[in-house]
Amino acid sequence: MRDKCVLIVENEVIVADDMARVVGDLGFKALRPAFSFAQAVDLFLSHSPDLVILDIRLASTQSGLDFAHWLRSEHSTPIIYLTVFDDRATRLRCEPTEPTAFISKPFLEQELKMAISKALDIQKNEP
Amino acid sequence: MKLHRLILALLFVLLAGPCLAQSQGTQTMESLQSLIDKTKSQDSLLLLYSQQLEIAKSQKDLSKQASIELKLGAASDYTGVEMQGHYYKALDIYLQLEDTAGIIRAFYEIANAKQLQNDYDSTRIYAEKSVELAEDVADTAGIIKGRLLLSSMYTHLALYPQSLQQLNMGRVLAEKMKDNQSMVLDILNKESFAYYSLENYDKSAEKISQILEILKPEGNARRLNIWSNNLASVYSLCQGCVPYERRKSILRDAIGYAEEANFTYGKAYSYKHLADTYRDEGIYDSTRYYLDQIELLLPEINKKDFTGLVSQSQAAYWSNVGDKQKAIYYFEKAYSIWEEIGSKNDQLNVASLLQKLYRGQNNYAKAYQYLNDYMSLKDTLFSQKNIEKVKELELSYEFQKKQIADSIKNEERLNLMKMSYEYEASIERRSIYILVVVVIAVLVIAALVFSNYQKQKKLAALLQVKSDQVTNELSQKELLLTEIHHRVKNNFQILSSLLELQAKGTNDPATRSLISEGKSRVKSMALIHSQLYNTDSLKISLKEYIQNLVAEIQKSFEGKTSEVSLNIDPDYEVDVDNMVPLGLIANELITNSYKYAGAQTMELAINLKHNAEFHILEFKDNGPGLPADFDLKKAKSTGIWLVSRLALQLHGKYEYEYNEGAVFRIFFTQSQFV
Repeated sequence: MRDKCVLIVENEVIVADDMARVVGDLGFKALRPAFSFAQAVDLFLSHSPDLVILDIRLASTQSGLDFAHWLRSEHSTPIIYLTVFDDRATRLRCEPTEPTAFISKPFLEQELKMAISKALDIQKNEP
Repeated sequence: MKLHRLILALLFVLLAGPCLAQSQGTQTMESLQSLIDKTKSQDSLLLLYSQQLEIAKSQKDLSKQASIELKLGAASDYTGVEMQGHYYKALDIYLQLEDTAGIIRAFYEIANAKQLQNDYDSTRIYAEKSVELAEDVADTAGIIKGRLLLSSMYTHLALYPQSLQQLNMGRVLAEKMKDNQSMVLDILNKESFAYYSLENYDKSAEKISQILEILKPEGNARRLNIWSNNLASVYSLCQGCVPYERRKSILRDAIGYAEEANFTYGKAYSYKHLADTYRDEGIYDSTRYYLDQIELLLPEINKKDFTGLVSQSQAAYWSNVGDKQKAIYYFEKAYSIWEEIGSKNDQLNVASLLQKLYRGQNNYAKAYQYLNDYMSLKDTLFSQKNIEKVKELELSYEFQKKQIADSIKNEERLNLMKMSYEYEASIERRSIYILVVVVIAVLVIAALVFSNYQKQKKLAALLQVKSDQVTNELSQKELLLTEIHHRVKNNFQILSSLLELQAKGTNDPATRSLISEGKSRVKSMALIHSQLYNTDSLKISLKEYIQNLVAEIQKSFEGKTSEVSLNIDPDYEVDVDNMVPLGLIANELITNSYKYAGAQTMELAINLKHNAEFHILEFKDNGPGLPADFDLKKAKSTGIWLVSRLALQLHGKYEYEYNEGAVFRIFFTQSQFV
């Protein structure tokens, strides 16, 4: 059984690395970050991650929300939103994609760790 | 009376037969006519004419009916009412028959009947109609008759000039006619009378002279005498308009005519005029002679008025020749005659003369008596005259008024027609004006409304464009603002991640603590931005911020139980400038409370208080508080040092005490510039 791997979709590389550090601290493997919608799709299809940590704003016209919708069309992979768009309207728009957590930036390390653990534990317990 | 009874009897017989044939009717008519020719009683005549009329009606002989109506009219009494009725019927029939001569006659007769009723206005109208119609058919006799009637009417009204005008027109026509003598004489007579009435004696005498000229060839001595006497009488009135010789010669002719006609009265009259002429001339012998001649004739004549006249002439003679007694005798004789026959005018003259004579004789009683008589007579006559005059004037006035009224009526009718025409035209014109004005007004209003509408439409469009622009700009600005907020928060995130990555791989707890503090401070500032983003101003609700901050910090101390109570007015706001240091202070103090809390539940009370100078934010926990040897100057890297510095920035200070836990009080004032 391979290590649980996490896809981080984030256009700021420093932030993505910081998130990857948190993922690594928890003992999971972070894939190389996806900066755009297309990269996210490629990485997801090639690696089939167990979790996706998703920023809404990407380095592409298609947003993180678009990717979530694409994802939800065929996959049930858990999603954690991590974004500056922490207003109510954005949260409501994200709800149909059934995220496990919605964390606003700047994130608290403790909060993110809890969310990742929770998402992957559910995955773990499912089968 | 015998005749009367006979007529009635005959009538009875004639009318007894109930079924008289047409031919019998004609016979009856003729029989009646022969009776009429014989009878003189007016009542009988009327009865007979009525019978004739019945027959004419049964025979349906209209023209006969009309002529009988005319006869009935002529036989009617002189009130003119009945007369008029018959003439109207005649007129109706003639109009039906279109018999112009009959119509002229009927008009004339109606006018006549009207005159008898003193209805002069109607008289004039009918007479004028008659004349007009006669003129149309050149019926000269008809014209003259009509004109004479008109003249007579004017004479009645004392409108002599008008009367003379009619007479003149009549005479001009009459003179052209054959067998015109009686007509011309009649007219001249009337003209003479009119001039006489106007006291134009010259003209009056002239007319009489003409009459005489006409009469002379005929040789009717009696008439010649009468007209000569009349002429002399008129001459005697126009004081000295003709020489005495002329008057005397006329009178001598008159005497000649009288003798020729064996006309005593006429002769006596001539004598009297002659005597008066001689007296006027002052030839008293001749006066005496002629007076004596008259005295001889008086018994044969036996006319009171003439006797009176002669007595006056006698008295005048005696008065002139100085025999006052005889004068008085004759005057008194005349006076009694005038009194007897009621000739007040003459009585008046005589009384005047008598009182003078008596006074001359110093017989004052008699003088007074006649004077008295004179005065009372004068009064009577004066009032009588006045009444007559007034009546005359009234009649004339009424007539003229009616005439004027008629002409005015005609003119009015004409004017009315004109006016109504003009009025209609003006109304039409006015209605056109009104229509034009209304149309123009409507057009103007419509134009105004339209232009206004256009303006408003333009304005609305402009406004829409502007408001669209503004909305656009606003939404763009909002978008920009949101973007900036997000960028700021994103930068906070990068900052936070950078801090973490700087210490990558380090497990040194001191370093980890520093990084954690730094990240916490960044988060506290990011919270301010989150809150700002959700408000419309640059102010932050303190309570909401502290709540959020506590919630965030709590997440970092997972596993620690805590009870945080906030006693902060929810409406209390802090501007952004003050919120950043205050937020950092709160972050330090709350974090400290969590950090140093023991195993027991951390209890923290955060209260906002106010005094005259400061707002006071108080943090009270149940922790151990600062170490006893805590020296702020030596603890420059600690959160407390940061708190003291930031309090300074807030124009305030901080207080610390230990009271069953750490108690920090932050004294601060709000910036006045926001």
